[in-house]
Amino acid sequence: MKSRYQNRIELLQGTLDLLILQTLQWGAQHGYGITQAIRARSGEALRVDTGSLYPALHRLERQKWIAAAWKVSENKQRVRVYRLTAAGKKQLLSERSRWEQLSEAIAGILNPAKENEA
Amino acid sequence: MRFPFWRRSRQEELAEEIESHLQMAAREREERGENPRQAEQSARREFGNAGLVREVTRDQWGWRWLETLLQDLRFALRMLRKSPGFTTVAVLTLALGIGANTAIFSMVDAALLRPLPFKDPDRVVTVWPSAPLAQFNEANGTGTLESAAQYGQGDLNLSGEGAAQRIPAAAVSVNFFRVFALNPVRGRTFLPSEGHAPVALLSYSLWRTRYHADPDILGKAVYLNGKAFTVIGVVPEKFDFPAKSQVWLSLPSKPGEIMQVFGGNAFASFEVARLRAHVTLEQARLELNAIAQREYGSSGTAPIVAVNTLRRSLSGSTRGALLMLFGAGVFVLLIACADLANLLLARGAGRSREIAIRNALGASRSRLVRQFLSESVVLSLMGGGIGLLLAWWTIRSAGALVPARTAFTMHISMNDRVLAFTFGIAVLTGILAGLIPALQSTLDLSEFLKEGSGSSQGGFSLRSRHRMRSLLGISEIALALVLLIGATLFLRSLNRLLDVNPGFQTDNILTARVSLLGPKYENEAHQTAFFRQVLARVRALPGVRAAAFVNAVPLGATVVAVFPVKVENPPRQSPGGLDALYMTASSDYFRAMGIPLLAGRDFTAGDAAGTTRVAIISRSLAQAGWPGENALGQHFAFAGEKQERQVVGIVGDVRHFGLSDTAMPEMYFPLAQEHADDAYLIIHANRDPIALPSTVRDVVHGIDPDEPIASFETMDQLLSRSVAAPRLRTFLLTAFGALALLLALVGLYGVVSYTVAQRTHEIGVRMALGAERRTILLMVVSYALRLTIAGLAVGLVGAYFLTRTLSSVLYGIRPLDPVTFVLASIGLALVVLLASYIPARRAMRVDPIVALRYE
Repeated sequence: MKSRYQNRIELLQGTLDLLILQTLQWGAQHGYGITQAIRARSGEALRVDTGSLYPALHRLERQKWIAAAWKVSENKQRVRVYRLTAAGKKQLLSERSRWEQLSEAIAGILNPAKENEA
Repeated sequence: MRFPFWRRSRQEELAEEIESHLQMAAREREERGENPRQAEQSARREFGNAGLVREVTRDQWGWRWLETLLQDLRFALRMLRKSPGFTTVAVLTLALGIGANTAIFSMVDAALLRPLPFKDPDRVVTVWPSAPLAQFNEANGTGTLESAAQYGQGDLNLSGEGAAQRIPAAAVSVNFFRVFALNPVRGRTFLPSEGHAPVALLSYSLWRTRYHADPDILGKAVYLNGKAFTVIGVVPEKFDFPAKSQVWLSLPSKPGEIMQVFGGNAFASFEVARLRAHVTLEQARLELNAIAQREYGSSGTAPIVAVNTLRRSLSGSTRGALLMLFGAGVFVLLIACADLANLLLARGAGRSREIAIRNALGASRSRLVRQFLSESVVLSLMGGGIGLLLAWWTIRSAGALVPARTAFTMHISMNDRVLAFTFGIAVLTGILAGLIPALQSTLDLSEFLKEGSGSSQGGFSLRSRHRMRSLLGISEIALALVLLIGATLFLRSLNRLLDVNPGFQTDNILTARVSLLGPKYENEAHQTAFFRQVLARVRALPGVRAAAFVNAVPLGATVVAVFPVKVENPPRQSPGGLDALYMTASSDYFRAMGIPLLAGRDFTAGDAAGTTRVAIISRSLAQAGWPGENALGQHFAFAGEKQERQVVGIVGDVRHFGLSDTAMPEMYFPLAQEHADDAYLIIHANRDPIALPSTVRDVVHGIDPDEPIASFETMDQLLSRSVAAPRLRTFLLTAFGALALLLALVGLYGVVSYTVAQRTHEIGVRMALGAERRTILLMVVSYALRLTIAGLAVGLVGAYFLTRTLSSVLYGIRPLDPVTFVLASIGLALVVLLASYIPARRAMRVDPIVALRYE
């Protein structure tokens, strides 16, 4: 059981929301689609735990950052599709800038030499 | 927030959403070439615990907690229905514990918790004795007291406009209402100039009922004991101090003048005062005692002045008794809690497999703990429901614990405060009893599954669970012992109380109350004539040994006056005079009551109005007034009065107010020389006076057909009513003790038999290896014995500290009475060992073959 988790990068607290919002920025998607998209775009490095994904989706929905609707898929299957709302877009922007600040700050700490060279 | 009536469909939606996720994942795997079955299985594996995902997702919805709660409760009810035996025992145990507490709380609520209906109740204090206050102007107060007032209390006949009725009334000094900062709802209170003016304030309820809330009541006259008083105000609703008064008169300055209104039956000279703002009780005590020391210190008789809040003075000994019973109730409840915890522990052990499986299926530990707690809370709520019924049934017969004539008390009732209390303790009990078993049973869940087949009774955390059971058993014994010692103390105290010699006989004595109402008895000569005629005819009845009149029967409910008296020169007593009970009696009273005449003579027909004022005094008054001298023939007067009275006889002391009170000095005056419109007829018969009342009523009505004669009671009845409160206290505490014993018995039986069941295998092995049956029996009994000794030790220490608080309600016995401690300990130990004997015998009979196969 444990081996399954070994190659996985644990998501930082709060980053899942950002990833979901960013994924939905490219278009409406269902839960499975979101996991696949995150996985594919991270080069298989990030796997979203369903036990985190669905609570997050329902929480974001309650905060009115995303909205859900039932659609019928290509395979004639009913799926619940999420899309970004206007409030969600604003939230995405602010979370993105926060993340960029954070990663710059961390990068600054990790690579002080580079700055000296420049 | 919206209520989730759409919740069900949303649950289905979530299930469908997850299902679609799984199908899509499976389809993609199929497209990559896996076979359909394998694809679906790996998709599910990759998804993880779908039930858990559903649950944590639902947590995001908001109303989740309510839904979980309902679900837990439903599940709890289903589980409890499955084991009716367990449920019945648990619910009954809790019903007894919670019912006991509800009953006591309703009494506490009625007697102690009622808010006092006036401003700043904690600034109103009583001062006793009132001597220091006599030294200053009541209106201006002292350094610590803003104002002070005297009050007295008695019953008066109210007449004029409607039928005559007897009501409790108060005589108060003019700034009485200032002490309470009370504004009348109508009119005004007394003016400073109205000392002893013929004006009166009415209670709100009297105004509403008798005068139909007459808006023009002010200025009208009411007749009290035949005298006219002008109504000047109506007191706010609920204010009935002192002693449920309905009318407030302005207090005359001399005791003799009180009697002109109240007849003989009035108290005088109690003092209430209002503390200045930000002054503590202790500061007031210091100041008043300093004043007392300054005034009387030189004569060496300065009294110690007690200052207490009015609230505290009103509850008096009731407070102690009720708080003690409340504590006892909590103990019973704790034992019931321990019982339930024990039962739940045993049940939890039996359910470890179920718990492990539910955990594996996705229930988190907190969810499981919540589930356990909801089971125990459901149990305790059911127990609380039945407990309410038990309490309702108990309090109907428990009125004696709340004194009827105390101001601001109410009837004991099941009001919303009591219901809220019951609900609160039921929930608390459920959580308290359920928490330990819940935490224990959900420990090391994964360990259990790893152990696989495990031992039959749940092989994990066995030791800690066993220790927990032993601890619960020990605490039950300890709690039960404290209660038993308390109950035994009360029983022995009651026994001593009933052995007390009251100073008079109680066999074959009948009493009846005669009130001479209306204008025709205002003349004292008419009263005397009536009394003389009744006595003559009653004494002539067959089977009557003696008959007499008295103003107040010992142990009766009548209010009796206490007056200070001064002995003629030289004065030997404290400046205020000697306090003595004011009694009026006809001749033959002492013979009828069996009170011994020690010296001198009884009253005779010669002691009539206009002849020398005479008195018969009790032995203690004779000793206090004329120490070392013969009191016969001496003279004394009421303090502040000139009228002297000569001592013609000395009688034995009587415990007038109750068996536990010491006899108070008494002075008796001849009926014919005093005003007495309210009297008791005392008849000493040759045998049980059961048939006498109707004959006596005929006799009285033969003399005056309008004269009411009522409340026929034998002295035996009065005696038994006077000990009703201690008897009820004793009964309740004994009942609690018995309850505690029963619950501890059940608990210990449970602990020991569970231990035996768990050790069946071990016992089988021991027996197979040659252990004798007796050894096995000893093994089990010695375990029970160890628990008992530990429990008794803890209980004795607890009782040592707790019984001290009982000293004020015990009579003739010390709280640390060694006989009681030993008896209760031995009794409890025997009962507990008996309880362990049954499972021990079962252990002894274990068949080794069966036991070894048992696993």
